[in-house]
Amino acid sequence: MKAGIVKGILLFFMGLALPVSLVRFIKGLGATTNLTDVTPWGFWIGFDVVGGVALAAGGFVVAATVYIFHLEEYRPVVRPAILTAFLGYVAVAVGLMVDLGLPWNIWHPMIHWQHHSALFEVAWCVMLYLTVLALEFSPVVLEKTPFNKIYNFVKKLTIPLVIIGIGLSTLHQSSLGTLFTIMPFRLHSLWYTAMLPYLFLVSAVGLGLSMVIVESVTAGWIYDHKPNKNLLAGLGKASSYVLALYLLIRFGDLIISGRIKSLFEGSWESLLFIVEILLGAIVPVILFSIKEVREKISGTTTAAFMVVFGFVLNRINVSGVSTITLTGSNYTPSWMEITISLGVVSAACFAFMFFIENFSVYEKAINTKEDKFHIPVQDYISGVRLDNPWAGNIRRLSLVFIFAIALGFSMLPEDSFHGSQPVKNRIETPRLVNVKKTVKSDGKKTFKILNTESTENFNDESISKMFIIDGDRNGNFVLFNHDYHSRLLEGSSSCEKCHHMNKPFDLSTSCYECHRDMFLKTDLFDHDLHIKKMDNNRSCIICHKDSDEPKNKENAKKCLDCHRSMIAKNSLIELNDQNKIDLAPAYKDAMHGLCITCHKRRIEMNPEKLTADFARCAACHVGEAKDLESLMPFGD
Amino acid sequence: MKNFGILTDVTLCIGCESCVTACKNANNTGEDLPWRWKRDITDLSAERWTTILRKDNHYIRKQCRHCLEPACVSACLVGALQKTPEGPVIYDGDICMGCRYCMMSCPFDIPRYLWSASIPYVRKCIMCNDLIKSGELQQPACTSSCPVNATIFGDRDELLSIAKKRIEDNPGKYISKVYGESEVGGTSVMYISDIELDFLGWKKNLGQKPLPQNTWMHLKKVPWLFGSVGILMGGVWWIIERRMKLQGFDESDTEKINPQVESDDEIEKNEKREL
Repeated sequence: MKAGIVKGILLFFMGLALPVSLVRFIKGLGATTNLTDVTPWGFWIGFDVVGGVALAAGGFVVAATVYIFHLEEYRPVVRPAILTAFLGYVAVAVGLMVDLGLPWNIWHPMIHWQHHSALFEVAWCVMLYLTVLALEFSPVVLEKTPFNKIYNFVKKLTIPLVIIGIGLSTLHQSSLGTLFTIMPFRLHSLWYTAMLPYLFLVSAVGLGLSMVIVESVTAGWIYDHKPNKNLLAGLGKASSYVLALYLLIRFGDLIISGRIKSLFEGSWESLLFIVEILLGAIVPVILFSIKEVREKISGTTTAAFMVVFGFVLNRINVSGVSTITLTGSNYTPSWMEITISLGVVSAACFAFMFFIENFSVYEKAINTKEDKFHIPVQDYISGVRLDNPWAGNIRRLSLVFIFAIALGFSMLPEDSFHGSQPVKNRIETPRLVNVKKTVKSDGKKTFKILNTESTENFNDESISKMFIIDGDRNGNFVLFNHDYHSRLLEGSSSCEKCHHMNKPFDLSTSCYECHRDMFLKTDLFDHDLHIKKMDNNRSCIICHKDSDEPKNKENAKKCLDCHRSMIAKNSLIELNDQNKIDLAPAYKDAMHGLCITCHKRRIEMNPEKLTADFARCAACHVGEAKDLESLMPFGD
Repeated sequence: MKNFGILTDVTLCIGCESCVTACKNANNTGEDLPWRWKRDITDLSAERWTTILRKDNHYIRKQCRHCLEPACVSACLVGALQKTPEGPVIYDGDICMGCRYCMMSCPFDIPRYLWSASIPYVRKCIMCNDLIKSGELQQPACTSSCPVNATIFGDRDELLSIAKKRIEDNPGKYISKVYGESEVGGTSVMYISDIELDFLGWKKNLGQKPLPQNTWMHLKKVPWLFGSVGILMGGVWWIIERRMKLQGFDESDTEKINPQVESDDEIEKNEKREL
């Protein structure tokens, strides 16, 4: 019954993860995770990979205990420990596949060697160790098959396999720590140390032993059989020795390097460190070393669960949480990341239950499938067997699974269907602020935004109300003086010039509707002004000399024919007849390269006279950019 | 063969972003969009391999530093990132697995990821390596586009001497240090400046030691460790096995202690022996 409920829960998480992982592989990492360029490694690496490998360390520790040190009393936990390790590593591989951007290239380390990478070492060791674990576990499956020759062959290989397995585990457990030694700039000083590989290895041994206790107790609880008390106590005791060694190395390292002082700085990291070390090592070591606690199953279980929790926390801290302060990361795992992780772990647990029920992992296969004394009732019309508890269970479980898949689909956010979308910024409406305007002696105007909200005491003429237009609130803003505009556009009758243009989707008129000269080429020549100045209609002939020709720009007098005196003295730009009359460039075009492109063109036209220096900004702007603040319109 | 580099003089930069535009055009990086994973639209991103940072009235161009001993290259387990003898650190997307360890290991926060894509790659400045190799460009797009020659391309040793000469010729103008001369073992992209440029890296003082040494220090022990663990475990097994044999505790018995094959007779036998 318990097994049925547990399987239901596991299948629920597996079902939930299914649509999410579909999205992950179809729409990519951006649509599913909260990873950023600052935090490229998240929950999947911290929990599934780094945490998962550490949790699966029980396999090699127990194998060493029984096969190498011949401590035969631990033989009953060899098979479950190796099975956990095998399934744990499969889960790690699956978790890694989900996390990798290009998972179909996961085999690349086999042909593209780069032995300076710690990850290369980890990849090879995990790959080989997974094979070793599969071979170590294969007798359990083979003994149920008629392939006796293969069974005997694999059995003979046991000792070499175990030795290779221990070597590979030592290497990759420590290399996972080595991974993080390359980033001293990311990890907080309480976690970063050159000793990381040793800490990872030692803690993996302690954690592995505790994990064997946890899985024995959990399997015992699910299948209603009592685990061997003395065996668990022995594992606990061994774990406490290893963890004591871990504490010694960790605190020794912190004290010798003097980094222990960051423990007392009162930051959240120091608190996290204390929680981690108390849960993972100090309290369990004390609990395991008290004989009364150790000899009770509840005591060992509590301590073992604390170790497991504390060290998974440690792995997550090293690979993520401790980097928050130094990188300024704002990463929190998305529900989709957590769901996929839970799904992968659930699938591993489900497979563990399958092996327990069908193969002699513990003493013998625990079969929950058949109720021997149950007589099935037959529906006498359709001939269908009813009320078979096994079939009923299957039906219930598949219902849970399908329901979870449907729930998963219904929870998918919009991005899952369209791929990840750029962030939508809210556009803020303009605010009214009080601005003080001052004119410096050199004619430069500066504006200062006053913090006062009050509308009173504006005797000071220099203070006026202005709109601050900063749609995305990024601090780059434009001031808009409404009173000035209405005054300039002839008072109260001017409203309609801006507010009643009735353009679609437009609440008020944009600046560029009037200030087109910012973007368009404009003619500086004011025809009306010239007519007015030169005695109205009689003036035409002054410029458009030939009365037979059409009166257009091309047939008119050039500006410089009259305005010779307007040419700047010592001008760098030589004037010729072609540019005597032309359109003036717009500000935007001038800013976007017209100064410099014209200068460049001039060099090409006259290479003897003008050197390359002519096209440098510094040719004209000498010493002007010393104080950029003063060039900005709203500087202090 | 020449070892190329880039020297950026922060005091000359006018912040026109011609280099950014030129880089975008040369490498077809695409449009800047406000993605969730960017800190800022003007920050480096998969679409923006170089950018202009604004700090204390200065413009500082941020780009890949092309370290002499790059952490990213040593981190890449398949060798998708390579330091070429000419200077650039280049990337081969066909080999990449997408593990993003290079992004974790970079001390200057440079590599970026195409998070929005279903088939994502790492993106960073490659000093226009492919365009220069094919002869399309004489020098990187960014340095050739700079209107004030604030950022220049050339042989790293020559650039270093130019930088030192500028510092010498203008006493008091610059901080008397070439950024990138020896940081993390030296970088191909260097800066001279009149403000501290420590903010270009994750941490203030990244040290002179190349970062790959941190991992290699441990990794070089791997073969020895594997061998010694193997020999140790084999030895322990052999000694204990032999001792048990000498005590008349042969292998068939050890198998039988396993409770799953234990029969009543054998339990009796074991009990007798214990007595």
